[in-house]
Amino acid sequence: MPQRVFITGFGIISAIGIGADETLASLKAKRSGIGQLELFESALSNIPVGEIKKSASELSELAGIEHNAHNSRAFLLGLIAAKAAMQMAGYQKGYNRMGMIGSTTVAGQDLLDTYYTQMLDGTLVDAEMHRAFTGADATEKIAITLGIKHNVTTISTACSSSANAIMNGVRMIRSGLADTMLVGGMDSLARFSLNGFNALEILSPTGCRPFDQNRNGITPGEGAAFMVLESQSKAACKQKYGEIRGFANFNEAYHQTLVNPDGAYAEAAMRKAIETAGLQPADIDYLNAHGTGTEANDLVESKAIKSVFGDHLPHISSTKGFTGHTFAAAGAIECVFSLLAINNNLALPNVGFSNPIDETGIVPVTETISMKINNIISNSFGFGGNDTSLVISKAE
Amino acid sequence: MKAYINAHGIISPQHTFDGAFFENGPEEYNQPQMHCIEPDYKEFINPAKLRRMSRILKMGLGAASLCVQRGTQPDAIILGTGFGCLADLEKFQYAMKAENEQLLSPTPFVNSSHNMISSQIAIALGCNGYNMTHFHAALSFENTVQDAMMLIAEDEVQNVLVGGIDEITEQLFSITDKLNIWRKDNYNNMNLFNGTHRGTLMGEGAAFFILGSKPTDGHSAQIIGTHTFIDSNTDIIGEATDFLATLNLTLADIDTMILGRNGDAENDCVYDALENCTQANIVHYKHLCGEYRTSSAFAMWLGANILQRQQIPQCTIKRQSRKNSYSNILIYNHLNSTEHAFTVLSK
Repeated sequence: MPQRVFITGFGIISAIGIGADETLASLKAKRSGIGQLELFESALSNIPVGEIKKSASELSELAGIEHNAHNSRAFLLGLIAAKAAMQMAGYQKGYNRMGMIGSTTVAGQDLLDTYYTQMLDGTLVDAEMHRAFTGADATEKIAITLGIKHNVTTISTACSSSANAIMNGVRMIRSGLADTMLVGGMDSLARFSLNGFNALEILSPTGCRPFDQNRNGITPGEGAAFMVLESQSKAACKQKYGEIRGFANFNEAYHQTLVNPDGAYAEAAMRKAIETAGLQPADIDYLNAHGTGTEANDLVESKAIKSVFGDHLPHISSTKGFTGHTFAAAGAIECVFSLLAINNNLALPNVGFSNPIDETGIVPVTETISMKINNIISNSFGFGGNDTSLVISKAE
Repeated sequence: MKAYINAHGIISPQHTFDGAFFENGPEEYNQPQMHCIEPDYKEFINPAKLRRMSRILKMGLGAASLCVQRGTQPDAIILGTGFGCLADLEKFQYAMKAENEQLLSPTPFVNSSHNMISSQIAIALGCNGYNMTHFHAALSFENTVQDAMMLIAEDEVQNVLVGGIDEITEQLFSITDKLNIWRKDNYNNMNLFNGTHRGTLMGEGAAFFILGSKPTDGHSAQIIGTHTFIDSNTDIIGEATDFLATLNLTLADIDTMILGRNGDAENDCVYDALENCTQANIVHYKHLCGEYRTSSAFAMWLGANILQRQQIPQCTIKRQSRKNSYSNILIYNHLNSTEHAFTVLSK
């Protein structure tokens, strides 16, 4: 049996709240955070988004640091979540057997958008700003702020990034390279990604409707979530909020942006995650889907789910109707949602759903269900065919 | 944990792709940028697809293809990149402003994803296994190697394709040149370490390896450990000693050190303590490939060659104190004396 790895702390910020309490209240009340873009100007401001209604200086205050132009919005979101996770796990700062895996796709793009032209023409000469353009800077500044020195990395595999960060945090502990890992992801809304997904014609004009027959695309969101993972011995005397029991990552090797319609590797990721957890599909109580709300993803994911679970489907929902698609942060945010589900005995609802997809007929959870939850599977599928599934279990 | 370097494929500013570097010696540059000497990609990549590929993808796919040709089909693919697919990111960023966010082509956006190269290699090789991209500045490559070594130790895979890749773009040069990172004169790469100067030379490269759980006939070396840390005020000797102790080694066991000196006086003094505390041979490499985020992948290629050939290329020797044989190599590189990375290679 591989070494067990537990979650002893977590922090979260998204369009539905700051911290576990606000987040849980919104989930229970089916209060979506999707609305109008307010905090920056864009030709795409008519596209609904999952925006956190806090300015940079308000976020700095929440993060407990001075406002500084070199701080990307994703870094601020990440720091808020990471600090909360550390505090919950009883750490003021890191120690020599603690590492960190951050993840992001667009951290720093907001700064790039504002300062790039000046940096290029020389009206602004600022080494710190140049470093902050790159996503690794967000992870590194969090690590430095929290006193984490060894084994720091940033993973960037598009929308599966933070699921991979969690998986690799577990692997680091099991390999004996660390006893404690701070893992998670952060992304902010940026004109860069709004325009990119708009050019791909996959933005929903109305707000995303995961698993609905009339779904019409993704809703971009922003947020961050971090977790403290600990070895069994390190977690022994602490409150354990869950266990990362199984995981798997596969590559579809099919297309940079298109989903392989056969869903073979989405299915393989779920099967192997369940198998490595030492479980059977029937042991899974709730499935937190990738469920982006695009025509292709939800259909293929539905088919893969049916292949894995047959006629005995677990309760299923996508929570992207609450937060929007938070890209690199999605896996970590949905892992924290899963912890809230486990610790409060709830299957979470899927907002935006009316009618099932004709081909598969999957009806997701539409109202919060109170039930005992022991095992959850959470899917994160990224561009480049990067498919990751995590099995999150009650810590017994 | 350990892994064998069973094959390599490397595109760099030297004639490394075909190995001519070892026969003909180093290429000389007299400018602050050192661009890769690129092979004829048509031998490796379908020409119809080649036309639509970005330069960094060609470099990555070319180096990966050679690696697989010399080695074996991998079970997993892990890449490290400091800046990712920067040229496409710049292109999309520019178009977004120039076109006022209207009617943009999605291609540069799609191609700017940091994991685009590892995904495209997976498609080209039909590799459905574990696929990861580490994106952490000067630690990207060592984090990649560590990930691969864990995967092998987990008995998940036999062979992993790992790579370190970064490209020069004119915009990156323009911005960083204003930050006084690059030499304003004394450009000659073969004189990079002569005299006391500020600034270094900008480089790029794609260095790929097949790491295996078992050695093959053509294997060059084994990697026995990597270690990374972030600290602006570190006792390097202490960190190195502690790290080596985890491998049951001491600094005295290291016969050769490959150090990431880049010719910038302030940068290079960080290496002095480690260099002066042992009698090891001292090798440097950044006059051959330039400074870039994943340059330590070039250093690993050099180290693997030293162990396999039992000879240090003359143009890389800073201090040769031991001549008998080469068994244990410590590679040490840092960025801004904040990000530090060690790798140990053994025969």
